[in-house]
Amino acid sequence: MSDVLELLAKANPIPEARQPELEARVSALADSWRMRTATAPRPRWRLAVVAIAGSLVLAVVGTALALRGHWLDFSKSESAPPRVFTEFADLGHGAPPRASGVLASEVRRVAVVDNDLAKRTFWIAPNRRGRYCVVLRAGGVCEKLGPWPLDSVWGVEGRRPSDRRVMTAIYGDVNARWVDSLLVRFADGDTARPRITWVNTPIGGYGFFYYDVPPEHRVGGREATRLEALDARGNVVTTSYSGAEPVPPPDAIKAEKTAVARARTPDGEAILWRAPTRYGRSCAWVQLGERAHTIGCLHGSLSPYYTWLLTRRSVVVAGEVPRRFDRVELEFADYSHVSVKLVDGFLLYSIPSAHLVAAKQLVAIRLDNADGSAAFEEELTLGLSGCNAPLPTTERCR
Amino acid sequence: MDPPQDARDFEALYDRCAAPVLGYCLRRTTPELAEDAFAETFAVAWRRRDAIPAEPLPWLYGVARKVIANQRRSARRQAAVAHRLVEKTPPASAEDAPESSRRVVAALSQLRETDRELLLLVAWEGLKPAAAARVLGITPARCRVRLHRARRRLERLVERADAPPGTPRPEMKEARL
Repeated sequence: MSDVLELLAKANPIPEARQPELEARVSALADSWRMRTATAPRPRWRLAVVAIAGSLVLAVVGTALALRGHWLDFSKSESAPPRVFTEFADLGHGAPPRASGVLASEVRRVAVVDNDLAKRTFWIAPNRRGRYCVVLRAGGVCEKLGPWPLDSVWGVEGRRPSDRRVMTAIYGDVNARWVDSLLVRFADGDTARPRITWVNTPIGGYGFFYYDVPPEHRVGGREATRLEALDARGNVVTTSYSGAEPVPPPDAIKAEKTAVARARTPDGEAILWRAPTRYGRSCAWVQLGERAHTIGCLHGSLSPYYTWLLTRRSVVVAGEVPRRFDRVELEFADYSHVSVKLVDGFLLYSIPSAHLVAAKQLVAIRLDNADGSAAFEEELTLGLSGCNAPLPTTERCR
Repeated sequence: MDPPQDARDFEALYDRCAAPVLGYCLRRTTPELAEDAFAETFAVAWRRRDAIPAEPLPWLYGVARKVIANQRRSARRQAAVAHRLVEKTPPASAEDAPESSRRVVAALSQLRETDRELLLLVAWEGLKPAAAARVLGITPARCRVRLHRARRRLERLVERADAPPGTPRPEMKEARL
């Protein structure tokens, strides 16, 4: 134990010496908890408020947006069993800002029809902030699905194919504001159109899909490679990739890119680029020589996102944080820290060479509220190496 | 008639863990509120007895921590409790502690709640970082980093308290893009 902890231990108000006193008090209190379990439960006013708020949302917001494709009336969907309510309610505790505000009492079962006409259950709950949370098969995580055209997950269901490129399921959601249909492209040139199940208010015109990759496309060379979201005229709005997405992101209109920030590094200049997309957002990416990483295409995010460019000689941290912050604090293992000014919500910082050794490495990135309290903290684990640590590496990191 | 098995198991749990849990509560709040929090902690544990893990103490500390936090949220109590905490920190027996320890406790009050709680779990409850991580609901790796930083923050606060007035904050640098 360090000095400061030893000093703290000496100030323990209930040290070992007072143990007999503690035991005696425990005996006297032996029935105290039993009396509480016997009393009537206290009114669950918080749950009641949430339920009323949820009902108001459902009542105030109108009914269907439009009759296009498979529309599902959320208010008439099957209510979830208690097990699922509990799971959603737990999501609210300590959840990240984007997941909080879930109306757990309003969680419903949305039966999404897959390509084999089998029904896949998506548990979906509206969110007080006008968004929603979804849990695929109870036990999953709550995701705030945002106002962007396509959000997809590529996964493997059941036995893992021997070829690691092969995915067996693609699922997620699309936003009716931009997207009308989906197209899966396979490595052999084949294509398929997954079904979309659209859900009305309060979910607000999102469509959910589950595509079960057919057996003939579960082999290397014939695997699914891309999922395209198409508008009503058949134009590609955005694309999701099975493997690594190209950088710069394909959604970015590269002819209109602008440099947001620049930083000097031992390997030359790192540049953080931004470019608009076809759907009213913007994509950002960072480039250092031939290395480039996407920061994202969700400009105006609600929680911070950081990415790293690691080379043999330099470490660059880049990211995007909520716009309300104008500085970010970086803390190092030698207890020094640095305050970095942000540009329009973006961070680009080349870590000085003095901090590119394990004893002085970056250990945390913090965003502070106006009162000095920490709003977000990204803690980096000590003792890691290679692509997992903010230290120079010879590995080729993505 | 014998009590059901789960009741017997719970009695055994109580015998084993009650004293540490009461100690935990007493170290963090006034004796009256501590006994209230203690009783509520075991009432919660009884209602959620199916969820109690094999190593129950960190879990019980986690429940007690939330119970005490709820107590503090009670607006009317909050002012009174804060007042008493200022008056009584360090509590009675710590008066015997050396001056240096008292300075550490005074500096402790300037830390954020999560940092303070982590340091106290290690220094007062004698938990290892892995067990403290279970109390706080974070991963052991994150707990170790957080402990490292919290300890350093406390050291700096103690150093600053010892420094003459007007001494600038050390090691603060400014960077611009």
